[in-house]
Amino acid sequence: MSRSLNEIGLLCKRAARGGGLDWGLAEDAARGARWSASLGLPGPAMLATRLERLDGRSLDALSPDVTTDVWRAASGSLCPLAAGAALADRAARLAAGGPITLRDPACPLLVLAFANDAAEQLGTPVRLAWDGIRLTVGGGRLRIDGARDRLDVDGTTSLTCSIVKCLPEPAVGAGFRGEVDDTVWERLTVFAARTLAPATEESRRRGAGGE
Amino acid sequence: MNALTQDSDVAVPLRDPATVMRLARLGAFHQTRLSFMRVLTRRMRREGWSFSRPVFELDAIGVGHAVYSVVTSVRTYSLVAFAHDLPPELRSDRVIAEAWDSTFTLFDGVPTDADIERLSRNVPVQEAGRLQSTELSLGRANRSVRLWAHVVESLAAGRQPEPDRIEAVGYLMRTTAVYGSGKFGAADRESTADRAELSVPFQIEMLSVYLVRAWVRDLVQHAADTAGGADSVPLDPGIARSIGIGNSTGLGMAPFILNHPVLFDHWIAARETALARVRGVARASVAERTTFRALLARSVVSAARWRTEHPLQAPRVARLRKDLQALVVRTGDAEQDGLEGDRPWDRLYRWAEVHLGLEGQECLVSLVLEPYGELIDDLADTLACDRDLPAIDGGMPVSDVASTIERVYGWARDIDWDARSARARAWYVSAEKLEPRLGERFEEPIEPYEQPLAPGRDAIALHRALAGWAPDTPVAELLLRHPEHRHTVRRLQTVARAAYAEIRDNTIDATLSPADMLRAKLSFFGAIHFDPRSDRWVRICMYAGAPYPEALANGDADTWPYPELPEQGSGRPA
Repeated sequence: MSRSLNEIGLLCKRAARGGGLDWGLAEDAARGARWSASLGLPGPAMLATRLERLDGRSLDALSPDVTTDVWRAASGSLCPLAAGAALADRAARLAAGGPITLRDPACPLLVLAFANDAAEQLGTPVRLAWDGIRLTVGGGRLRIDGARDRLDVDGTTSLTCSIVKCLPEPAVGAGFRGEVDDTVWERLTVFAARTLAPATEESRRRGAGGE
Repeated sequence: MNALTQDSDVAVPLRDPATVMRLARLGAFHQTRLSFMRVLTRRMRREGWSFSRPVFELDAIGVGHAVYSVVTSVRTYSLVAFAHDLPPELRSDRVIAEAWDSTFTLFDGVPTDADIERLSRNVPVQEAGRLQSTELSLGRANRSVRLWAHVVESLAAGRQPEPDRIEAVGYLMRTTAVYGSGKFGAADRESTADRAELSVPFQIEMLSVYLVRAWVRDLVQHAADTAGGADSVPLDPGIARSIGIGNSTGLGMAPFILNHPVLFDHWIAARETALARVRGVARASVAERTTFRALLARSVVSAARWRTEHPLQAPRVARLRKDLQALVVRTGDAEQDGLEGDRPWDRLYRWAEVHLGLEGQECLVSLVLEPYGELIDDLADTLACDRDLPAIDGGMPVSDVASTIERVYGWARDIDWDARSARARAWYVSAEKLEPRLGERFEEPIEPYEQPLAPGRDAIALHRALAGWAPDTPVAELLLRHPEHRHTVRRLQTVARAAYAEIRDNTIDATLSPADMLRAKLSFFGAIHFDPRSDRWVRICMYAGAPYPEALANGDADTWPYPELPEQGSGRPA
């Protein structure tokens, strides 16, 4: 179904929060899913998959060790949201050093929006590559090369992130709507519901303050 | 005349955010020349927008629909409005209501019959329906039952309604929600923000309500004509003009100004810049002084008509009335001019800071801007901002994070955050209708659902977390270890660049009055006669005094928020 980007962003933010992320990372996850949807990518679906896998577990063990340019989680697969945020926060490292490699990241597509943030900060396009697919982002626009069917894999052994000189054309820009089917919407709604306080007579009386 | 042409105009600094961004002052703001309704009505007149009512199909009990179209210089927008037969027991101002007297949407273009058929299945059920990218807003309105009945009965019996009764209520219908920007599938603001006529914030919502006012007037006339038949008379245009659209705004709107800090900064900065420009005016011309005095006199009338029984607001209105009288005395008349001499507005403002209450001071801010459209109206172009959540600059050293907290949140460092009263409230969203609510943290089981709407508390928590980190450590390192501060770091970096972005008060304090937050936002809409019905919802009136579409070309499209003086030529009202 065609959705407005605001409703996609709002639901994804609530879902990410309901799925156990701190508010700040939930905001990034939602912004990314919204942007991804505006490019016609299945960001909201991947977020739903990620939240189901995470299911409220702490990100501590799933966050990257960033001491070298090969980032791993302490145990298990790397969280693409925690790793993506760490990547965007260290955009300068991409420009100063070589590529950064994420080992065993879940849902690699979720890193893309953070790569876009990094590209914006650096003023140069950033490329993600895994399993024979290459996604290059710059100025909010996207170019996909290679194995398109690997776009929505729920994990990969290795993802590399690097800066590139220019964005290959033709690249696609963001639109003003997103397609999110009802099944994905319902999966996200399950998580979003966890952020909502159950209504009580007391809250009805006090909280809204109406007649 | 443009005061800038005078060679001795000087720059007056903007007011300090520490002064402006207190809730008590924000909660005393009044409409100004830069209010969104006035920006819209000036534009409609300037650009010669034309209006029509291509569809008006109502049955004998007033159920049906209508289309009101407006043609701008480049586009057409159409209000598609539905009238319903609402049983009295279902009439509720609560946002969680499920039936209304009227529902409406602003359609982007001219709706086809198929569009109207689709909208007739979706708009009347509001949140339960589904909109498309051709719809720009969604809203509903309920009658003021007593005034509606009085107007219908009067007109049907061949007489005009009593002005006193109209003045006591101010509107025939009040909206209980007007949603824009992507709600329920409607078009996102981003998709229309590059249109000149929609670039100023909330122009879609303001246009929707402007057209709804005409619809409601036509609806009440239809009811009267149906009831009275040949005996019915048309509503007097002067009386009609005095009727606005009410609005009942609950807590749901309060978090907006916290969730959009950069946008809010733009609004405040525009208003403060306008004030600084006017305070810098070297000398006021006779015409400028005359305009000020005339609108001051009309403000006296407006304040006299401002009705509220709210225990906090009623004394403020009483004080405002006294303050306005003091201003009348202070600024004299044409013979004994208190506005002569150098920098009259700056002197007047400084005097007001000492002698007037907050309502009076902020009302004066609005009044001194009035004569200076040429000097300040361009600031309307600075009201918009469509980027509110930037990516984090992870390279910022923690020492800069600390100093920014100390600069922007100095006020919060003085609060004892361990005290229960400082954390007494929590903002949360209810499962019932997905609306923001404010609860008692220590009395209700809401804390697990708390929304991040206490920037002061969170900034101080971040400040504490910085202890032990080397000053030159990039904040990215801290965030990897403490992702719970990510929201606050982003906010900090955002508000550090926008002086008026952050409210400088504790938004979860036991004494918080969310009505102040509602008032601040509604004042930028251009609302008047704020009537808090509790500390968390406010009734207002919109467009009272504004010319209707057919009268816009020859009416007062600008200073209409100020009521006409009761009798021309009788001097200043007592």
